[in-house]
Amino acid sequence: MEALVGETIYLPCNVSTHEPGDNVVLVLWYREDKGSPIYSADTRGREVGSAKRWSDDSMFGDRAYFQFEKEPGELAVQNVRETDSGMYRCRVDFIVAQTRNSVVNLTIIVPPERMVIRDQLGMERTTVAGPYSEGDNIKLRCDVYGGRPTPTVTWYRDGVAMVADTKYMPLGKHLRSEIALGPLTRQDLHTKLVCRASNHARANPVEQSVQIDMNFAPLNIRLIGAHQPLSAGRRYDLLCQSAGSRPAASITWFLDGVRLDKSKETTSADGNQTTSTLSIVLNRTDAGKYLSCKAYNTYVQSDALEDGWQLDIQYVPDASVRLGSSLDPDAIREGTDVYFDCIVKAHPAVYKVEWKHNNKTLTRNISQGVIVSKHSLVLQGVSRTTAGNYTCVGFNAEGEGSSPTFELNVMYAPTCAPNQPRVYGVAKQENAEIRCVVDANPPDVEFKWTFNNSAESIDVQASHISRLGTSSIVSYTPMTELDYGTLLCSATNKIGKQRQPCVFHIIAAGRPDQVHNCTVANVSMTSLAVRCYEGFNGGLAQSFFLELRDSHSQEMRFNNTSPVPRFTVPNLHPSAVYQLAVYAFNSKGRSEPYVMSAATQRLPEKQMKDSEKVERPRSPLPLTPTLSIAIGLAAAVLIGSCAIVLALKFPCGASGRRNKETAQGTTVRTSSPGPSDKSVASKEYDGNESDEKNPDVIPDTIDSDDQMEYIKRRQHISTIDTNSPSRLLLTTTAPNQTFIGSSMAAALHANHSSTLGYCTLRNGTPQASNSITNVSMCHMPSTFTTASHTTCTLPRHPVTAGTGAVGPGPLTPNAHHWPSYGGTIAGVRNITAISVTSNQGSPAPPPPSAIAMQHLGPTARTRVCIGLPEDEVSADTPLMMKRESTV
Amino acid sequence: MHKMWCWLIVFHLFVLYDFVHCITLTEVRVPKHTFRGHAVKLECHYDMEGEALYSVKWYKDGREFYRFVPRDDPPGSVFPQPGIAVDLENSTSEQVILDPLDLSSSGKYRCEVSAEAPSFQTVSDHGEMMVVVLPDQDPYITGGKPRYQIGDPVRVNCTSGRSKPAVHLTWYINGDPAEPGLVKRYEPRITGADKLETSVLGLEFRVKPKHFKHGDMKLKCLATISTVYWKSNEESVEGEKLQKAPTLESRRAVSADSRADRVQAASSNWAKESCERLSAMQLAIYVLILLTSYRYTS
Repeated sequence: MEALVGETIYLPCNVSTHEPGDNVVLVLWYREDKGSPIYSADTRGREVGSAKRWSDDSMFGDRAYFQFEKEPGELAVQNVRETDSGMYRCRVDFIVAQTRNSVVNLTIIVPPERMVIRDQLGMERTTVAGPYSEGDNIKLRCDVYGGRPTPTVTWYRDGVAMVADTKYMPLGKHLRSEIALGPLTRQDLHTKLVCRASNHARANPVEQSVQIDMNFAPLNIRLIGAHQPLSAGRRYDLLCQSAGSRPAASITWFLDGVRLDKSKETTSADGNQTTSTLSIVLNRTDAGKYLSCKAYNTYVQSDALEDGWQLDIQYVPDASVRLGSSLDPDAIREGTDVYFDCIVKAHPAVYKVEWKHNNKTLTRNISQGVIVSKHSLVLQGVSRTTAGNYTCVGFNAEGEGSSPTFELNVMYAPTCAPNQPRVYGVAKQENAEIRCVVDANPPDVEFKWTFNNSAESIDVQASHISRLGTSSIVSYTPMTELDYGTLLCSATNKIGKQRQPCVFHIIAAGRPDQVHNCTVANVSMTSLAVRCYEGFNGGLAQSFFLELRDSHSQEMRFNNTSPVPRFTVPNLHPSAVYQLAVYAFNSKGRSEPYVMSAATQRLPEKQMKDSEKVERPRSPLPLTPTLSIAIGLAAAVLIGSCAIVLALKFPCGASGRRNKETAQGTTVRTSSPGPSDKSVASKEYDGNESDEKNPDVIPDTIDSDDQMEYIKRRQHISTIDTNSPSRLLLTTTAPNQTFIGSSMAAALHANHSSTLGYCTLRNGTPQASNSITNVSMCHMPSTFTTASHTTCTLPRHPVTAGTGAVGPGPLTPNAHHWPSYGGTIAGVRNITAISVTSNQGSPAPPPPSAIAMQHLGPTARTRVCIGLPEDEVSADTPLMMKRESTV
Repeated sequence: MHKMWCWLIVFHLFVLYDFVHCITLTEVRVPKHTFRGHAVKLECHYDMEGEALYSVKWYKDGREFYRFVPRDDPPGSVFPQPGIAVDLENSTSEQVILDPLDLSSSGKYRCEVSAEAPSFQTVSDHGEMMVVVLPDQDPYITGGKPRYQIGDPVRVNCTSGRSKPAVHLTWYINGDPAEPGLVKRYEPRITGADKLETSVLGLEFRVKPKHFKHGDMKLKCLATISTVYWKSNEESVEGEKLQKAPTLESRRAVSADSRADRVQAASSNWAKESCERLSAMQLAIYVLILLTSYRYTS
């Protein structure tokens, strides 16, 4: 019989008898291994219902009760225990019948007590076993404790029984059922394994289950967008995906084996797929590197999966300009053929290369020597304009890449810079700063200044030259007529010498020349227009002035100033005759007037008559030009001779004419300088000069009231004026030629040859000795001309020779000026003499190089002697020249 | 002092009472072999150890055939069954006489002794008894030749008389048991209403020189029934090489006695004692405790 623990079992024992009058007397229950009964029911001498019962406390105790009333009789045992199992014998004694023995085998079923699932390491697993790796061979044990009869242990995998090895472990007195699984695959994940122990159909089986947990290496990896070219400098978000890993894979990035951080990892909701995003900016140097991502699972011993590709980096062309290898960038001169190569690194390759010069695209222009070929540029015969910044630009699909600029430095020998003043009008003893600007590359230049006049060519002393970059300034003070001429400025740099020197004409600054070819036009009854051609401006800016007077009343009717010699005169009376005078003037003074007569038109009725009337008085003058010239000449001679006589007779004549003899230092002191009354002087000349056009007329701006000294100065200046070669230059431009033309000036130079003037221009060493000797020579009045010859350098000889002959010729028309000449010469000679002696007297002679000092010296002294205020001297030294003589 | 002693002794006796108070089955005598028609006395000796006797019951093959209950009148009663013929007159609480014995009297005889209430301590033991019918004749050898030459085949049979159980036959050649390969066995023949059995055992071999010792070859057939029957028959054959003509002599030999063996009580499955006795170890511990306690009290 079988019973579960705790149940009540009824052990049968037949107590019935068929014998008549028979009855049960005793029921004894034995357990097979015990001699003594464990239960007895004794009915001897009593009713069955009140049988004497006894139960072994060590066995059933009060749990057992024999029930006679049950057919055929049974022993009820409550709450059976495991220890109750065994063979039981029931002996029934009857009064009559044979004793009956019956045997019952009682089996108490004890369900399994507990169950533990353990892994190979003996670790208890309640819900999950693992994690295991793919390919693992695993064993799981199910230890079952307790249970009677011995339970059967079965493993189930997803409901299907498995083959298991079950054995009894005597030490722990439990059953152990072991299963082996493997090699595990991915499909085994989450497999549910159930261990079930049961020992009886009526006993509930004991179960325990575990799920297999596994770690997987990543199955795949994919770098999305691999194998595509990437642009340099652009930010890319590269994605790398890996699936199949459990737990989620780690993805790392590598660039040529170097780990890259700054990637972001995301995992899909099911944890199966990991995506890593790498934000990266690649540059050109990364081309060819291997960019890869690796996925691995730290929990699985397996090689990481990798995907990647060799980077193909595309970039904007990287261009650079390379000068032809045979060319030295620091030695390119004008005229050289230059070629450049554009070195372009580009991926993808450039489809176009452009060249730029100073940011302007160059095109092929063979006529200008620009040849643009594929990647090179040829510049034939470069010039300074070709110099500048060159760049080449490469174009490809990524964009355009400009090279760094290549500065083409074209070197050239200095040349004269354009647009610089070429003519300097300088008064005698006036300091002028002559600026010479050259254009040179390299700008490291040396200047050489040369003074040229008709006589000679002298290098200017270095001490007078100052240089500022490519400009040089000579501080120049002409002292004598000979100091007027041409200053040639020639610069030299390492490329060479300036081929064409810069030419600066130093001319004596003076009053402007008379206007000429004046015409009266647009004559109406009340207005007329005057148009003249301007003459030389005297080296200074000139303006023009028109005076219109009534020819009868000499009454001023109109005056006006204009920057150009064109005037319109309104508000005139009809049929009136007017005298017009046009002057040019500058800061040095006023030119001779150009005098004309003009008549307005008559009133409509009398128009013809009036015009005739007007013309009549005028007619004698213009009708005979030759005559007038002759008359003019004669008058001039007369006046001149008279003037000389007067001058000789009256040294301090109030007439205002110059007296050369009075030009002494002492007399000069007494004289008071004053501004000359130009108008007065001009009036005098008006009549003559208009016809004579004598270039050598002494300016008449000086008031007749001027004192002797002042006259003398004027004289002095005027002589310079007449000698100025620059006057001639204006017409002929070639300095050498002008000297011939200006023979008279040369003669004057020779005659009163101021050693000072020469010496200023001389170079240091010869001058030192010369100046002294000159002075001594010059002291001898009789021989001063020869002295000047000896003292002064060669260029003088031919000129002085010529002067003697030519000189008087042109002078004759200016007869009235001549007296002043003599005075001037004497004056100058004397002054120089004085100055030199004083120089000599000084214990230390002035340094020969100090041209400025030597200039200043005499000037100062002159001033002192003359006693003129400086203002007056500077303001009122207008000079007048009449070079454009018809002669 | 002496009082203390006395109390201690009483206490110890009381403690030991339960163990000592066990009835013991001293001896159950059941003869192993008995002969048909004879009487047999089955004995059951016990020591009640002061307990009152409730019953002595005899079972043959699990069925009660005799009981002795002192409280009954008469105390002994018999339950008839085949092969059981109880001589009630001479049967007591400690012995049962069966007379006469039949072949069906063979079986397992158990004696069960129970003490009176309340414990009804019970001891029992049993013994197997076999009723034997001895052969009506001695074994005899058939098929033998007077002379054998080397190489001649020997083919002989030994046949026993009718018996129960069947006689066990064994061949001996020159006194040595025949090799099993030479012996030929036959099923016993059952004959008659009483189904007695006749055993036959054959012996077949070729004569080899080794079979002749001192010129003779002796073939002996031994018939036994357990230990109660022991008889043999031997024939001697003369080898040819001897000038003397070989002769086959049959000699009658030993006869055996039958006897009844004492039952070995130790082999019984049933308890011979009604309760556990103190083991020697337990006794020793008790003695030790006693000695120490005496020492303390003194």
